[in-house]
Amino acid sequence: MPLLDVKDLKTYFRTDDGIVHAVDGVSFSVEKGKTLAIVGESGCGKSVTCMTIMGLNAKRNTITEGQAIFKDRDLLKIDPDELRKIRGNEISMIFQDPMTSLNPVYTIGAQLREAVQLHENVSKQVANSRSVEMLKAVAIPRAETRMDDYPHQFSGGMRQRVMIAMALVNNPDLLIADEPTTALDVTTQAQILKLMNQLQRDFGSAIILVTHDLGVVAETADDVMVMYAAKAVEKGGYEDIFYRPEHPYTWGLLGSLPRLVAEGADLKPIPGTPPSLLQPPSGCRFHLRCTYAFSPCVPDVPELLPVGGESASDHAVACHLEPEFRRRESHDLLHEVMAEQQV
Amino acid sequence: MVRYVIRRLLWAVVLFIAVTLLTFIMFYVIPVNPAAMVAGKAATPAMIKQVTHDLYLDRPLYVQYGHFMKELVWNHSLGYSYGNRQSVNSIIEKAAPVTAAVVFGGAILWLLVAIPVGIYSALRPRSKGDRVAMVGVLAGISAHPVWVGYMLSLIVGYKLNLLPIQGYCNLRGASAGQSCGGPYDWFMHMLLPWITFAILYSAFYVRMIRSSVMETLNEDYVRTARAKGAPERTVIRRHALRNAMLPVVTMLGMDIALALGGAVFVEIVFGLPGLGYWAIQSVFTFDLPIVIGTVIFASIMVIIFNLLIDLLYAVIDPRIRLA
Amino acid sequence: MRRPGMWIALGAVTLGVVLLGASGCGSSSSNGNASNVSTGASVNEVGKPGGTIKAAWHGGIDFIDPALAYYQESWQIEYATCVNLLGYPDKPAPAGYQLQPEAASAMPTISSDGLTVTFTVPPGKYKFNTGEPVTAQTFADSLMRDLNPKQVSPFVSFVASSIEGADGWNGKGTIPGVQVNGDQFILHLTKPNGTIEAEMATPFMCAIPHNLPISPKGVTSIAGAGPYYIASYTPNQSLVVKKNPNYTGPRPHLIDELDFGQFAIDQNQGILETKNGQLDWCPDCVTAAQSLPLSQQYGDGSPAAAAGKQQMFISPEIEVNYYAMNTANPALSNPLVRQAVNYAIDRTGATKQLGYKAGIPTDKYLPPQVPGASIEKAVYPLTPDLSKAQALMSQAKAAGVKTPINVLVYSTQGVQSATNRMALLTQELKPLGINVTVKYYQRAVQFQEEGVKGTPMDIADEGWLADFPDPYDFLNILLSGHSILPKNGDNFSYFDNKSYNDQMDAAATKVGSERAQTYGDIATSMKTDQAPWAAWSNQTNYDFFSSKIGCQLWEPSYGMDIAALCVR
Ligand SMILES: Nc1ncnc2c1ncn2[C@@H]1O[C@H](COP(=O)(O)OP(=O)(O)OP(=O)(O)O)[C@@H](O)[C@H]1O
Ligand SMILES: [Mg+2]
Repeated sequence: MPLLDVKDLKTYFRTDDGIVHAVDGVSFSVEKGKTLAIVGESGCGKSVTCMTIMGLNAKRNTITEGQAIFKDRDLLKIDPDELRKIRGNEISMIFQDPMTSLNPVYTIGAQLREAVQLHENVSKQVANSRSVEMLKAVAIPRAETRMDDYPHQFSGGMRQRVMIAMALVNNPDLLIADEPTTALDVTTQAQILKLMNQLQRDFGSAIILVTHDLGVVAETADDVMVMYAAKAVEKGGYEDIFYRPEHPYTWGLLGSLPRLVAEGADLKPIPGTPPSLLQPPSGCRFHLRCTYAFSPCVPDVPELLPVGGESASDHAVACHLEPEFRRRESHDLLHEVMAEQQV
Repeated sequence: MVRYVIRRLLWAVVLFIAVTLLTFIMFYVIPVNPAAMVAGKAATPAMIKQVTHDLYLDRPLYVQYGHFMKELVWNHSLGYSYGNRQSVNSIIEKAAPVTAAVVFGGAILWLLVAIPVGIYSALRPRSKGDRVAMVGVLAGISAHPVWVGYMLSLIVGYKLNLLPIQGYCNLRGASAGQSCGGPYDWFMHMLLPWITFAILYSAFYVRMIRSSVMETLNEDYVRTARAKGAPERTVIRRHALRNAMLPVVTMLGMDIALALGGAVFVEIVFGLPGLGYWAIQSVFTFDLPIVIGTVIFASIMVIIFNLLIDLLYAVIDPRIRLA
Repeated sequence: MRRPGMWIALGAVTLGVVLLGASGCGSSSSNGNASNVSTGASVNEVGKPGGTIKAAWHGGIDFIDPALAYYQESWQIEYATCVNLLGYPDKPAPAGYQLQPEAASAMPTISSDGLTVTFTVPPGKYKFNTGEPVTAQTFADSLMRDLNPKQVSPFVSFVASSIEGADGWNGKGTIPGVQVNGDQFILHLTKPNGTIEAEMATPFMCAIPHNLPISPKGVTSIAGAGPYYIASYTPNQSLVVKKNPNYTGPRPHLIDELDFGQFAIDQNQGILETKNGQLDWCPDCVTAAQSLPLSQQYGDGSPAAAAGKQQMFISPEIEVNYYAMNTANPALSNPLVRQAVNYAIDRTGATKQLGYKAGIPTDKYLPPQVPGASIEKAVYPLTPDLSKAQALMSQAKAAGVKTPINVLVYSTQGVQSATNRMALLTQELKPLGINVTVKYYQRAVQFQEEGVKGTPMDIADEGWLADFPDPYDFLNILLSGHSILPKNGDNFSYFDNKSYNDQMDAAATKVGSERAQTYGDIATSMKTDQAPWAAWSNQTNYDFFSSKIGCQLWEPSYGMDIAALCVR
């Protein structure tokens, strides 16, 4: 049984302009100790998916449907106080922007200790030593003294390490990392990712890693879910997505990956911009930007169906194209790239 | 921290010089001959000449300013009123506590109103309570304090006869000829002024606190606190409010200057002989030493107050303290 | 020896409320039109002794020191607490402005050359509240203190030049012109001075205790020999006036105590408190805007007054509002043009702009309380006589005056009635071919600008409030060539006519009815043929009391008589 099983998750926001369908029927599951990557362009609903699981959306204007079963409990239905006890303890989250995610008026020591003491009735000393340990684990030099420093005295990368330390200090079963490296420079990004991989091995947490950077996915993910305009368009193991992608949108995403794009390759970044989630397009939401779009794409919503053949795989895709055609096209495109890269 | 304090102190000195110089020039270049005012309308030219000399008015402006500053810094003297020859110091000595009572009492009242209402509104935006508060804010901001003062006096004071509407009572007891004195009378006489004062500013502050709290609630670190599993009360109290109060503290510092402006109206409507009353009264009578004295005193107070606020700010915001 | 309207303005200032003088807050009885202004409606009321009056000021007072006090409000206090050699009786006009002996046993004897003035002061006829007797020396003390340069008293400029050895006295030793001989207080003058009696009756000559220290800041504690004395005074804060237990004189003194507990009361609020009875009197609280409703409810002819409880009083000031026409500038240098202006202006209309009963239209230079005012003839109409004005303009043109004439008028900034009046004036002068441009100044700046010799100003929108009812204070001060100074002059029409200068100088030395007759005649003829002014109204003063207070008496020189007040 998966650690977290999300079924038909819908999150709508009431706004002055109308209802934003930020997540519109997404299902996925995360296995113990595994990493699920959620990828997609900006604004496709990745963060909202995570926030909904954590119950962090403002209640005032949010409509939520579906299920998120975590250890036999539906996170979307349980008592807020129950959920609060899970947050930061069994499920932790780290955010996109480390610069602003720490409270500027408290020392990081205070903020780390708070994380411990919110969930465990331990003395300040115990909380303190646990925090110091965690800081050491995320490779912050002089951890003891740095406990008394304020966030503004840390660099961005160091702050993100602190955030990770704070997320892991209670040894959670699931870590949700919403674009943990986007705001950081490339070297720091690599360090942080390495750190997360290593911590996952040491602590055994499962991870949901949100990113729009496929390069990151390649380095860390076991499973991948590709989202487009509030819906999952393709899902599968790391190998499925990287070597046998079947959705034109996934092709496009891979096309924007520098590693794979060679000069003269047919793979190109996807033209156009993602649609508004106030009034999503009919049928396949990608049809406006899809070079393969044909008549059924406009009226009919494609279902996310398992990819035939290798039935053992979880690989699923939502596309009206002939399976045979998709496979051939996928193979050709990727082969071309590989070939060129080998030259 | 030390460097920060030194910087602030130096800045305060620069401000002090700028303010005194500006005030001095502003009021001394107006085309009234102060000597003629002092000597009286019936003065002979010889008398005017004598007074002109006594007042340093026949010297160049920078000598006058130098003399003025020397008197101010050396003898702590702001000169003497043209109108009744009282030392401006003695006038300010009496006026300052009145204004302080108006401003600080008013500030306490307005914060007592504005903080809870502002926070409530921010936590429940668009709720009925919030809407009522926002209408109140609009009314408070639109109503001129003089009008509010007169209305309160007319209704609460005159029609209902609940509170006194005029005059300042000595905190320490009535002096001869005054019909009121002592803490109780003082408090009762200050109530309407405070309310009038607070209506305007609490309106401003409700709005400001509301938006500040709302903004803070959207901050990433508040989300972090929630994600950590902190109960909502802790999130708001410990993580949101302290940060939300930072701009409020800054504003409070800056608004002391503004509040002195508001105090002018309140003092005039309620017959409180504070700095604002004297400033206005002396502008009308061209009693320049009092005008300059009150303006400079008020400026010094504002500078000192801002300094204190800056230091307080440093205490609550580590980013400044440690910079 | 005179306070321009400004000094009242000092007392009356507030945020944009009436500035007196140039603008208007007075009126008075003149031209037989006095009927609607009271002269102290409750004079005949018989009050009972005792009681305390709670009072407040909006603008406060300047000093209680008699050598320095100069606000109208402080003179009211001085009048109640002082004994003078000569005084004005506590009676309405006309008796109220007839000087009579007070501490002196009789009017002074004046030597035939007019240079020696002798007062006889019976010692101990009056006593200070401390028990100290008032003697001839008391008044020598008072005068010497005023004249002491260290005291910096405005009285110096009234009398120093006319008392022998007083001008430039260094404050040491004695002054040759001031002498005490037993019961006699003797003044030696440098020239005959017709106003010396009036000057000796001003509060500057208040009886002061022996050895009162010189104090340029003004003493704040002083014994009094009048019906009342100042029991305590804190500048800018409070004043307590109490009945003088040693007073045996004829002046009224019914109430026990008068407390001014506030010096900074808001005018509107002061009225509210007075209506409520929390306050009994605020002498400078009634504004032009309040005068109509208060008069209707509490004034002369109201139901309250009919029931013997009049609370609102409108009384005449010794004041004249006038347009001073600059005779030194070409625009209005021809007397025919100035006469035409006098015919063209609407005195009644301008007066109405001041507020309810705030003034009484007049064309006289002398306010009605001033001796000679009844001699001065009404010459110009109170409402415009355009045909007469135009006829005069035609004459002027025939004599070489060119139209259009452009005139620059200086008036007061921020006063609605002044703005309205200027609009009226512009309209009225247009048909005469006179184009008006108005320049508005802050009141204090205005008269300073007008007083600079050579000013481009052609008409000054002015007012003048006298210190005592004497024609000298109006004609010599405001219209004599001697009053033209390089700066800070008072002769805003820059009228410098040899014949009139001589006539006025001569009149100044006259006394009694001869003085009144001479000044009245001068005013009539000056106004008729030279017309340096167009006088248009006399102002009134408003007083509003709580229902508790009675016995209001308008003393023409000092205004509302504090000593006369009683508790109903
Ligand atoms: N509280 C909210 N109220 C209204 N709309 C919202 C709210 N939060 C998110 N949205 C909208 O929902 C959509 C999905 O947002 P989300 O933050 O999940 O995107 P994302 O995939 O995380 O993008 P990015 O890569 O830029 O972080 C966006 O159009 C966003 O504007
Ligand atoms: Mg996001």
